Amino acid sequence: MSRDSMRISENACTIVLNGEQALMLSQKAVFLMSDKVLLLSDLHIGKSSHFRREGVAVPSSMHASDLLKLGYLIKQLNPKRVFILGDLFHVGLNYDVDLFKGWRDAFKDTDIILIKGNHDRFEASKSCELGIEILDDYILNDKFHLRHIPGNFHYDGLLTISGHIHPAVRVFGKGRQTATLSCFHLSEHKLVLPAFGEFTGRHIISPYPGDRIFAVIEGGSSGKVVEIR
Amino acid sequence: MKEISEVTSTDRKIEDWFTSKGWTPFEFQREVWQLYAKGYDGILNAPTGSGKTYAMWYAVIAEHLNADTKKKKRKNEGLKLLWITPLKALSKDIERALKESASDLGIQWKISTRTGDTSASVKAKQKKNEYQVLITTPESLHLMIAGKQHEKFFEELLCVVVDEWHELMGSKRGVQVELGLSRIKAVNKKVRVWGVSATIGNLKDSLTVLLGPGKGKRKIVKAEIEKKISITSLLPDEVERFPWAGHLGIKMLHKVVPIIKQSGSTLIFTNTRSQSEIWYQKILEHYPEFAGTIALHHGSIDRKIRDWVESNLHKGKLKAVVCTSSLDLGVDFYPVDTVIQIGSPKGVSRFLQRAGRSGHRPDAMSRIYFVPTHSLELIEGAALKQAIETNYLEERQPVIKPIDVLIQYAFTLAAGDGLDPQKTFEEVKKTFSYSDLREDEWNWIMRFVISGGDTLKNYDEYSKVELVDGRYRITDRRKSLFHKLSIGTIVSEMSMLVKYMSGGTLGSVEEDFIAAMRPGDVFTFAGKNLELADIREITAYVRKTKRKSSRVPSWLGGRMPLSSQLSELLRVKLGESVKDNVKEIELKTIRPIVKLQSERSHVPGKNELLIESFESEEGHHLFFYPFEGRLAHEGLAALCGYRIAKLKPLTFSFAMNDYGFELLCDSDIPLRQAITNGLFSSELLEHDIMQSINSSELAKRRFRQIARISGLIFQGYPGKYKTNKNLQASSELLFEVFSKYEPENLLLKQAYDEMLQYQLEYFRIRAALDRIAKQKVVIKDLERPSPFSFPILVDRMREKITTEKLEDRVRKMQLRYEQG
Repeated sequence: MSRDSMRISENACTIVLNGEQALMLSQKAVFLMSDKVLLLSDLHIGKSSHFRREGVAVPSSMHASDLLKLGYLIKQLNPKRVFILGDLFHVGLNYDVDLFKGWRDAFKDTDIILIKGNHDRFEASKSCELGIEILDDYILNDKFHLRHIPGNFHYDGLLTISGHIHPAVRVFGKGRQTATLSCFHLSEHKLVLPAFGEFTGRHIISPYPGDRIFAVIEGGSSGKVVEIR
Repeated sequence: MKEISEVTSTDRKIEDWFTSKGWTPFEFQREVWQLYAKGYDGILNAPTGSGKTYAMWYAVIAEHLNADTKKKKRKNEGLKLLWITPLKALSKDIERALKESASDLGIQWKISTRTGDTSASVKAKQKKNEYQVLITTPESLHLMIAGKQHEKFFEELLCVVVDEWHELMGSKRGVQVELGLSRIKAVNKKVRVWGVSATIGNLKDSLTVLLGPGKGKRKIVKAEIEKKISITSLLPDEVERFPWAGHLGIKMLHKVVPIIKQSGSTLIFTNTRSQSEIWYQKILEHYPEFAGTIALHHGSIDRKIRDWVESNLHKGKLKAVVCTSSLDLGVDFYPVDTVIQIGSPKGVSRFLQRAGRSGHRPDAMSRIYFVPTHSLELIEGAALKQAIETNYLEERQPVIKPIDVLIQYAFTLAAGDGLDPQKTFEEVKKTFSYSDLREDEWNWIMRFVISGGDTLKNYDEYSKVELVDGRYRITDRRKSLFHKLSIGTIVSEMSMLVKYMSGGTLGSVEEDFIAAMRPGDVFTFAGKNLELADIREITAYVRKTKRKSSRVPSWLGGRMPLSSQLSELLRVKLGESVKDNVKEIELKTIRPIVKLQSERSHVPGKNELLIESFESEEGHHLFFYPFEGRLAHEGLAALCGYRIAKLKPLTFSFAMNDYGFELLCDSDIPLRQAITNGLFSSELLEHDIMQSINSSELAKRRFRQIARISGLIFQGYPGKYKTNKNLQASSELLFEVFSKYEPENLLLKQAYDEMLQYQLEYFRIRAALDRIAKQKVVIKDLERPSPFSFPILVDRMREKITTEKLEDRVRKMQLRYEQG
């Protein structure tokens, strides 16, 4: 194990999901250890370009750093398969698609499967062009049901893992301190991942009693995932 | 009195009109007419209800009539007079007054109002130049400029009057006026510009800000009309038993009610919306006989309900109205003869403005009662009286070079007849606000507008403006509409509508307040007990209930700091209060408290800074009393904490009010050592302040408004919750993204500058340190808290001094979140 991959697991939070050892990474992804599967969601590539095309002057090409981060995780963890749980692209196949293709070439050997999200408005036939497999949902090892929108139902015995929500919690400290943190939201039958992309926005959730919240304290290589209660 | 040199037939006509009304023109009105006729620009300094409207109106009429006799009448006359006012509510009143006198004089001018409320069909007529007089707001002026062929519109304009200029001058709306005027003057060299302003501390500056730097035919005309004001402080029965802290003032209710009873109609001003709700509720609870004759008025109550309250005030049907700054401005209510101010007004001008809302009948006196909410505020009563006697009023600081407003203006030009970068640069440089705009700054703004900022990509698709016929234009109709909908600098907080299940809107409250409630919960709003029934999107549905609740929504903002002027006089009065021969009743009344302060500690004189040190179970407390207003104290507290903590590792929490601030620490504080090491030094001041506070968090708050004004965030169509979901981004996210990817962005820099200037009142911090440098520092060790320290000690609003990164802070935080 390299020093970097050591650090990745040190900063992560270890948890058992449906009998499987998993790491909740401070890079806002989940790594299933025995199957070597990397799960992440909501990159929204092309969001900044979309803004710019509509005349809103946000900085361009922020998404390169999201892909760099994903590349870093792939290099360090060497996953067999990577599942992106939807919203890889912000508006259909957009202007940053070349950016993605270029990146994809550098990681040809890794299988990447996209579970289609509500933002991914393009034909499944594009999968070849992008070099990824595209599915509506997927059952992994008879343990996990991977889909984009969490939904209100679940299959018996399966844990639904999804994205879409961009969950975050507001934490309070003494002296009127507050901070909003992206989080993993785990309830009885569902795990919702935080948005992997940087320029994506967050939705503050109101968890129910019994839910578990794992907040992501971002800070590059020194970030951390901690459970809060 | 000056001689009236020439009396023309026109002047006589106007004098006759005055005579027919039984009036004689005031000296100041004649002075304005003469100066105007000689081609002067200027400021008319006159109070409301003094005839300032007619002073300006007849100046323009006279020019028009005199021109008529010389030139032949033309058929289609264009716009002659543009009247800018900050308040839509005022425009109707002005329109009425102008129309009346125009018809008396037989002038065939069409007079109309153009504000955000004007219907599309009327606007279309106005565009065709059918009107000779338009009464409008700064925002609507910019909308005119965003229209096609706006230059033609201003060609025949004789005069622009900017009403209530003192109100506009200190805000970004004032900058909008400056920009609008620069455009009009570029089109029409002859146009005259007159501001109408109440008295402010820097009247001379207001002339330069309105007209731009430079000299020429410009003058300030003062209406020497003495408005008589009677100021009375309501005194507690026993000052010993009057609270040392607090801001509600309900204890004085029994003193306030007799005044309401013996007056005709009373306005009761409170400082916050929640305070007004509480006062309204308490009056009715203890004096139910007022039911139906008192009302509540504040900015979050629905416009229709407020209109109802205002019209009943006019008709004299209301005995009293509990209100906030929502009634500071606006049309005069003739039946109002008494004003009550609950708690510190925080500024002399505000107090005077509020006093002036009473006594509008001829020769009537403005009558105001000051109600202290805690004992030390009594001294403020004495300070207020002296300030008004000596006319020591606050200055309005103009907003300098706001980048966001200029970006919005650039897009406004692009939406209209197109933006010519060089020409516009020369034009805006003539305004006061942008007179020292540098070329590199302008180039950055142009890059932002034209190519979307500094871009690294070569296949960038940024588009908003296009170069057509040598000018940058917004050619896309949808983008142009989006921009026009976003013109303006007033940013509303995210709020939820409060509606009855059966229909009818009550007003709006902040989202966070409703978010913390569940259906079935009861709260008080708009003076009613309401049960939350349902929440749908941005609407909270309620029904009336008999159940009572002490839950009152609180709204962000509104906590104004004590002004420099009032603070200064407060320091003077405090010094006087220890003398044996005090005359003022307020100072006499507070004697026992002042005595107790000198027994337990010390009462600082004008040339002293008092520091109190005190130990409790909580730890070591230090109290500093610079009397510089709560915002500057926040910065000073953080600064002192930071500088002390450099001597030895310490963590402080701090609290403050308008008089002083407190540092609290779990271990001994090396105060004396810190003072010798330059605790109050103004060296490296900005650096140390930026280090001591969580500057990015504070700047992020300022960025919200900036992002919205500069068009980074589209707020959506009026009345619609969300639009174009793919274009949603929060200002917080944008702030983070800019900080990381474009740190040299001028809008980011503006956020930090605004934070220093408005959030922390940096200039007052500097002034306080300069003063302290000359003062004697008096340190007192206390055994028990002093009357000065008590209000700060019990203040629950505490801040922490930290230079830690977010991640470290979060790790230390006691992690908890709200459960749904």
